[in-house]
Amino acid sequence: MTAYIVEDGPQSGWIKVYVAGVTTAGGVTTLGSIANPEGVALHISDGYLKTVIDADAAATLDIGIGATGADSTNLCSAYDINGAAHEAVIYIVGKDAASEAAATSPKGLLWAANTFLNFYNPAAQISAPWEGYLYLKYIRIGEDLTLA
Amino acid sequence: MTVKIISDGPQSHWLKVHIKGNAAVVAATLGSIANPEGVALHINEGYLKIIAPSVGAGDLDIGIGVTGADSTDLVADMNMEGLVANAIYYVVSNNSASADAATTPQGLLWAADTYLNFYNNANFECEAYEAYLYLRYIRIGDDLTRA
Repeated sequence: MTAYIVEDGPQSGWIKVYVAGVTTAGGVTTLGSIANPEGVALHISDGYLKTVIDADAAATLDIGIGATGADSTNLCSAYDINGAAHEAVIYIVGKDAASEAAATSPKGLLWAANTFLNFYNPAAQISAPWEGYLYLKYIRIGEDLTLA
Repeated sequence: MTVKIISDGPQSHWLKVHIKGNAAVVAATLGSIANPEGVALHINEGYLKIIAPSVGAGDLDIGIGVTGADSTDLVADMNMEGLVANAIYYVVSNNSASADAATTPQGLLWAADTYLNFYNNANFECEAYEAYLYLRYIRIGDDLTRA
């Protein structure tokens, strides 16, 4: 399992996470979890997933927020990483919200301070050699210094 | 009336405004924020986070205009009561196609000498209401290249 935050300068305001598939027999397994990087509640407002290499087998990808290692699906659910084209970029946060619409999944998501960004293959298929990058933007909403 | 820009460093490129209701039982302003840059800005992104709803049936308007005005071009008639703490709402829609006009509700000009206004347009108190508005904008008023 491999998921980690990438720190190559050009991300310019985006948190960039590298994710790779695994060769686990039976397939179904976590691909990694990332702890909340700020330690306060964040609102994920924007997100994209770029596939670098697709999987050889019919694995799928779930992404979401939850307890570490969980199969969370509130950002991406059963995305076909076998059929994903190299260099393809897909939306992770919906871009179809009207003004005054609730900014909840799939049009935004709370990342609570003590929770994790999870990557999971829920299909009984090997997910290697899939590789991708997840790009997220968020607002630090957990600080209410005015109220303190 | 209480609205003010919050300067807790971590806002990371968002203009963050604290909004507080008041006890007036007639429609009234909740405050106005002067253009913080003194040049024309294009508001391109915005969210409203609820901290606490009101008890009375206040209705929130947010927009750009002369100070103290009832401006509605960002938010119009949004319930202030019955809201869930920590809920987040879009203030600038994000459902625009390429080549769409970036005008309300898909973006808004904040002219140099105008104000960001908050107003309760209903004849009910809204004292318990508290929220944060987060905005992003582009400084479109700088034409240094042409000088």
